[in-house]
Amino acid sequence: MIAAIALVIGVILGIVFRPTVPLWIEPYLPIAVVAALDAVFGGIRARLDGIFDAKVFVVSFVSNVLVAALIVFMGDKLGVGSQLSTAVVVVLGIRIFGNAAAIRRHLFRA
Amino acid sequence: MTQLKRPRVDISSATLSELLNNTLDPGYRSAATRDRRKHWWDGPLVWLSCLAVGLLLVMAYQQTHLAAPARDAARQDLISRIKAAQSTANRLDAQAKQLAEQVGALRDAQLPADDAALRAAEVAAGAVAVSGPGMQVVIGEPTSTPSSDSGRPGSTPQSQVAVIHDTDVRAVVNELWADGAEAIAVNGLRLTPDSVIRFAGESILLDFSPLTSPYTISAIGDANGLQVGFAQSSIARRLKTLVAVAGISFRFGGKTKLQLPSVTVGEPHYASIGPASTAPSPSAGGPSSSPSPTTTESR
Repeated sequence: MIAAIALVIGVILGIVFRPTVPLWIEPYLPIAVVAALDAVFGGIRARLDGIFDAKVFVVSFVSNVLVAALIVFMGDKLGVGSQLSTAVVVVLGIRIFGNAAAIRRHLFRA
Repeated sequence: MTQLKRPRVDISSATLSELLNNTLDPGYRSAATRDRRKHWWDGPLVWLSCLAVGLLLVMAYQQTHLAAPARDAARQDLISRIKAAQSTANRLDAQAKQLAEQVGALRDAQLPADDAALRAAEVAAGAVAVSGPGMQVVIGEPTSTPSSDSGRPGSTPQSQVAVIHDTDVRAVVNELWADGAEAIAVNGLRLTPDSVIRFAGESILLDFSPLTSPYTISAIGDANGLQVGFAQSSIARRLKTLVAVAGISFRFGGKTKLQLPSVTVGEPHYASIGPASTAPSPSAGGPSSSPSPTTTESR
């Protein structure tokens, strides 16, 4: 519950303060968002499964974002940036879908 | 049977099923079995992470949706800078023309008599504005695309985009030089002995100034001779064919009074036979038909 409030506070902070994104971060931002969403959905599901662990959640969030950005960065340097971005989005998208389905089963028993 | 098949299927299917079925980070499972004790910073760390997630979401949204006006503003800025640079270039050009006129007037005051050769060279070089009788050729791209098959959706057949090429304009200009034109301008831009008519993308360039359809080629000279010579030329026949085939507009006729502007003539050079004397440049007017370029050195 407090985590959800923190998320909303983060959104409000972003709207109010409008942090300017440094130019070199800009290409990695969308993929970082997808990675963060993956971590969040994983965390929610673990919470519903009753096995939530703060350390795992934080580490998976940080490492997901960093690894996703690193993959895109490497892809850009190797000239396959868009393809690698697609690969990352596909894999993370499948995980998000799977976790969302598990959450749905928990919530609605369906 | 399945035993034989397994090794080939195993790798990909195992990876895929792992990806599809075990969507939860395995760390949670192992952490749950390890049974570690709680720390006071667990809660704040999670809140901080959620805060970061929210911030990240908003930042990404703003970056993709609110950056558009910024891009537009940058584009407008570039456009205004281009326009400013163009107006500066026009002003400088006008100034150069004015100064050239002053130089010409001073030179005329110094020269003893009216020099016919100098006048002819000035006209040939495009250094002075000229007026007189002549003829005008107007070629226009087809205004409406023919209602034939439009091809793949979202595409326009190349033949309907740019029917008229630089070679057509160049051929008209060369024909007019050959028919005895003394001065030629295309869309109001005076041709000089070293003018170049080229093709870049889908636009025709005259000395790096893009020309747009319709292309008006004005030539000063003997109006009757020009018209007769042009009507009999092969380029006129070719353009008439294009009228029928591609739907371009093409007309020409004599004019009793035409006015052609002058251009800023660069520093003239003496013609020389050097190692670089190759084929004549694809400029307006071939070497045999154009006014002799060597006469530009008289200024």
